[in-house]
Amino acid sequence: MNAVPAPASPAAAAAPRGGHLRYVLTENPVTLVAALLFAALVAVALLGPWLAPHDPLATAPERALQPPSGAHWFGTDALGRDILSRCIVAARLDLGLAVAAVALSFAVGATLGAAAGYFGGWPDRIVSRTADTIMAFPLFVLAMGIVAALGNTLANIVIATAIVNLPFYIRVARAEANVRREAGFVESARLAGNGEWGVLMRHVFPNLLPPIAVQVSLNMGWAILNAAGLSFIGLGVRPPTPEWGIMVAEGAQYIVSGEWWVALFPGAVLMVAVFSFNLLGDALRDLLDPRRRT
Amino acid sequence: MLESAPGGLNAVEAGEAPAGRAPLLVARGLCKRFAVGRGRPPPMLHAVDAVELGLARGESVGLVGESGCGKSTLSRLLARLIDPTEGTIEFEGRDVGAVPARRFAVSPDRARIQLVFQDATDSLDPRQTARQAIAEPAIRLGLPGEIEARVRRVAEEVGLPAELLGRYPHQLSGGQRARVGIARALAPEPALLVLDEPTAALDVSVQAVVLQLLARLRRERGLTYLFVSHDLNVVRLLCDRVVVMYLGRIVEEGPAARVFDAPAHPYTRALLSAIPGSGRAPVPLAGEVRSPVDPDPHACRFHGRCPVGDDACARTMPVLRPVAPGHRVACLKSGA
Amino acid sequence: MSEGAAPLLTVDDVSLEFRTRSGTVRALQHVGLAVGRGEIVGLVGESGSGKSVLCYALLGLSDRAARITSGAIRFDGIDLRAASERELQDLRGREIGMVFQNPRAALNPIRTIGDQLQDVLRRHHAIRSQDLRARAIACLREVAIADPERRFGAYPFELSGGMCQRVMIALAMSSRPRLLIADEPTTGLDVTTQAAVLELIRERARADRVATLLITHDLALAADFCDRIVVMHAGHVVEAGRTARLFAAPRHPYTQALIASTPAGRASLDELRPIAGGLPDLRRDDLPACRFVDRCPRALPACREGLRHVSGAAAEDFACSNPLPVA
Repeated sequence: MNAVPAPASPAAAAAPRGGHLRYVLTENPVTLVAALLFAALVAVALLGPWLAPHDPLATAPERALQPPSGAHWFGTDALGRDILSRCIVAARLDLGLAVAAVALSFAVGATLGAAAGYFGGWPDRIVSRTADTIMAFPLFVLAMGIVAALGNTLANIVIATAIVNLPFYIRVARAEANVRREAGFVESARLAGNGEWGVLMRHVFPNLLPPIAVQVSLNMGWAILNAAGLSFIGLGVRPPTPEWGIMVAEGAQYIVSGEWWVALFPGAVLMVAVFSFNLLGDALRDLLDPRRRT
Repeated sequence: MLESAPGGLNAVEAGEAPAGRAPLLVARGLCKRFAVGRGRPPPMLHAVDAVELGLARGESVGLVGESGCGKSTLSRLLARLIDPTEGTIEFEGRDVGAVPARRFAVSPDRARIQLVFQDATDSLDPRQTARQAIAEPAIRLGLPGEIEARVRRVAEEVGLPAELLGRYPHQLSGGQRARVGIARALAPEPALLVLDEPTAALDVSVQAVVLQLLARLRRERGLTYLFVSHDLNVVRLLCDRVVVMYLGRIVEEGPAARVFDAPAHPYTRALLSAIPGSGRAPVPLAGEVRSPVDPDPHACRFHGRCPVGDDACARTMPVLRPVAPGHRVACLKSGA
Repeated sequence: MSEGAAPLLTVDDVSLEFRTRSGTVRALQHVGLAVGRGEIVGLVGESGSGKSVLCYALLGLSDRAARITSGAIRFDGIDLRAASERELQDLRGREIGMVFQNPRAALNPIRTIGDQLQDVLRRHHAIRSQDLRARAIACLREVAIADPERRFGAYPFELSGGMCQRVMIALAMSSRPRLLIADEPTTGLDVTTQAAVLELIRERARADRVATLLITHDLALAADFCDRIVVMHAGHVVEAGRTARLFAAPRHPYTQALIASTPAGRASLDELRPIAGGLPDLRRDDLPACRFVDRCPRALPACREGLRHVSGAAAEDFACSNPLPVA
């Protein structure tokens, strides 16, 4: 019930950023696992084409639908393409889509939400009603609708995913801004000569980041799933471009006939990616919150 | 150095203030009302009502009262963080009350009036180091000279060791945070410093250090203080003049020594008697506190709890009248 | 003390530590005190002194990371350290009443105070349901809450801070406890309300001969309301004694320093003597025997080596190797 008393004298001088990073990683082993997974994913995404043992687009009908073996760790698909290579190269596309969508969503949503929560009044009303409207739709259906309306391109997948994600950022940012608008440091900021936008962007917004960081990471997972889902039903990515969703779609028809590896490996890789992003959410918050620096 | 202070607003205005005590800030007819609830017209909470207050340059004025008396609201009105509903505020001869708070924040006068907060922890941005917090007013208000030099100078003045400047608020002790708050308020070189219970959250031993620091700074820089506090012991030590508020109105004001030794208003007497260690018999205040929402303009706000009031008090709103040079009280029963 | 009768609450040589990520915090060391029936004892200390930690330890409400490493806590002969959680729950509320800081936070905001009062009464007493309401209203009346029938149905947010604290006292005193522990009950309340609340506590203590432990950082407040004062610093009890004696002739340098830094009763700011330095880091292994030694004007080398701690049983005691001379 009663908290542990604070250390009698304040901790030693602020550790450099590297020190804090190390602390966050070592404090919780889950964080370390998540960080390693994430690093591996990013490495694969960046180095994709060089890591792939085979050309992901090279077809070889004579080697179609071969189970996992020494030559093809994940087996081959219906056109004889190496599934492992395709998975590796797809990482770049999937992560790229997710990062772009989340970045866009975050930038627009957090700013709108923060302004709505801080100023209140009609900015708040407009932004909140817009967010409510978006949330009234089943989100995946809405994403489908947007891509169908705007055109079947990668850019539009990003835009659709970003729009569909906006309400979450708006709501979190708005709630956090609302809580902080009466905080002492906000009044201090006004005394220091900041105009209202200055207070919002220099003081309120940076303090919103830790709670939103968790949201960002969870969103990454969802954004990957969303892009994969859209591709699965034929929107967005077109064959032969390797992308995890399309690969699962293509492989789905072979499960019944016993060639399980065609769908399973892309699906498993997708799952691991989403998993590591979710785990990373907490670590991001710890990294960004200066109060956790000891 | 607690010589008797000039006689409040009247003396200040009439130019009777002693040499070197020119009026710095004059507030007239100051009111602040908030709408609470719905209705046409909506019920209004009278946080500050008909306040007339003058601050002479270089003096230290204590503003005391209990919760709900309006001292926090008044301090924020005078620091121009919120706008008055009615009334004027003149600072160094300029009408600053007419400038909306949002515009005032980016005007040059912002540097001239600063505020030190009660809870230094709450008033510091957790994402800013001490150095950044102290430098910010200098940067935003476009003050001349090198920022880092200014930060170091003011940190030294408030007794904050230079090696602590790189720390975040949660890495500093309560006393150190209080110093950062004071340094930050002093960095733009204000003429008027409003201090809102700056030592309330501190331990007694740290409080002593901060009070002595504040006294020294005032002497060295010639600052004017408006010291808002519920702790009368502290006010007695730090202030030349005391203003007592109750439910939005000033009920008594005068030189600190006089008000403490010979309080004229029944509320002041009750307040003083309730201080632990005062040696006075506590004056019990029975009855309910009057509501600050849509109060009766023709009744004394203290009526109902006042040990010496009678029916006349429920029919007439008392106004501040002098009982002694520089000592004014708003009470029908005070013999003023 | 209480006319030679055995004290109701004794704390004997209690040491407590917290296991934290950054080290073991030795929060209490060899702490001893006693409270007799009808006596009001003030436990005074600054933040970090351990007074709140001790309060929670007495009630068995310490943080999970806390461990009492030595000593005994006895309430009317019952060993509280050995008691089971069930036994402690029975004691808390019935025999031991507690009043905490920030009464509004201690009350459930979505239930009326009448309901909450009835809950406590129902838990600790076999009262018939039809009598509960009447008994609850009587409790409210005892703490001078005007119009108790109407207040019975009120929610905490409708009441002022002072009134909430009175409700807390009513809750605490409802089962006629023999020991009352009040942890900073008036911090945050107005001065006039503060005086009224403390006067109420004192009145009940005298009327029902309740042993009262009042924890506060405000020395002047303790001086006005307590029979005896126990002063703590950095987890140690440094001095204990009757109020008048303690203020007139403190023996421990910290007591004297604390008195000298209090604004009450001073004529000018220059008379205030701040205490130099800060609290030592209680996680360290190499703490000196007396934890005030680095800030003490009377420090001797021997102070670092050993210290005789205050005994809970003694009415007047101090823990200092170089005390102030008797006036």
